Amino acid sequence: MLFTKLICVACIAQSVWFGVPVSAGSADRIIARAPTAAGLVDQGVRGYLEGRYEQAREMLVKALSSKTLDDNRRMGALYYLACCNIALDDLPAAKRVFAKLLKLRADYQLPTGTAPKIVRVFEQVKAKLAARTSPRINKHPQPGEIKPLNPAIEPPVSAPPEKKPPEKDHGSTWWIWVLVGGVVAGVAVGLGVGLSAGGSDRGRAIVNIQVIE
Amino acid sequence: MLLLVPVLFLFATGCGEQPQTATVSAGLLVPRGLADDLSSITVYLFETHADRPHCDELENTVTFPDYDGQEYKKVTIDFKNVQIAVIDNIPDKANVWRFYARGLDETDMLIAQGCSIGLYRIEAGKELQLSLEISAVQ
Repeated sequence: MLFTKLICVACIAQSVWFGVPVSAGSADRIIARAPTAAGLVDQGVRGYLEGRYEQAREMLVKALSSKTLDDNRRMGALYYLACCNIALDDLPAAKRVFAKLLKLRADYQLPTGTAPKIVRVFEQVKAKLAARTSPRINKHPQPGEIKPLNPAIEPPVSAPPEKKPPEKDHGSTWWIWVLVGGVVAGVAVGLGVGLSAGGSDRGRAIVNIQVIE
Repeated sequence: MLLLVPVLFLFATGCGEQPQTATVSAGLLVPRGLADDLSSITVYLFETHADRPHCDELENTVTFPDYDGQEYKKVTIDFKNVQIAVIDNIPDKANVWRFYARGLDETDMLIAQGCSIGLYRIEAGKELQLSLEISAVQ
């Protein structure tokens, strides 16, 4: 009697944990009476694989509403729910589900061999979420990347400036200009002094007294 | 070194070379008849404006002219002991001057005077020779 009970408990646990259909008649009754969240997930997955998308979606939604579902099974349920929505051409719903999945685990990877249509939707959602969450980086524009806002004031495109020949080195002739400047200044001052010297009071008169008869 | 160039040029043109000055050689002729009574002779150089002062104005002993602000130079000669006198610092701006001399006796009475004939332009670098004769005051 006790052995029989232990076998039943083990079968139930196996069916819940591993998702293996229980073939025992007593176990079928137990699942049918009180389907667990995990069982609903298993039924939903099976329905999706068998092409019963609406039933599968219903099962998966019920399973996801349970708070007892662990994260691994929740992520699996979300994945198959999104697949059901895509199969039913309900892309907005599929995107919302994928968004929940990525919110639960940002680095979630689709199983190998996923249909390209599903991959595309998943990647769109992933990219959208990444754009929202990633910090905005303002790159400094590189030279040439800056474009005027008003094309009317865009500077005319012209040929690249010709390379001017290197200017002559004036370092060796600076003393000539200094000399010329000094001479000019000296001439100016000299002329000024010379002209003003004409007005000096340097005249001299010598008076020689001569007695005449 | 380069700064010395304008300095040397300035020295050579403006300061190093003394500018030529005006020189006036004036012969003051004194009649022998007055020589015994003369004690001193004062020579004046009046810068004239519009040919003034005229000689007759200068020779008016009663009212010796006092030309307001008119520049003049003078030198007083001790007639008994000095034969040559020098008047320095005459402006040589090519202005026109008139020479005038007056002789006093020992009591500072005017006994002789004389005015140069014509006017003279004293200019830097030029030499003038003139004669100035005094005669007894009437």
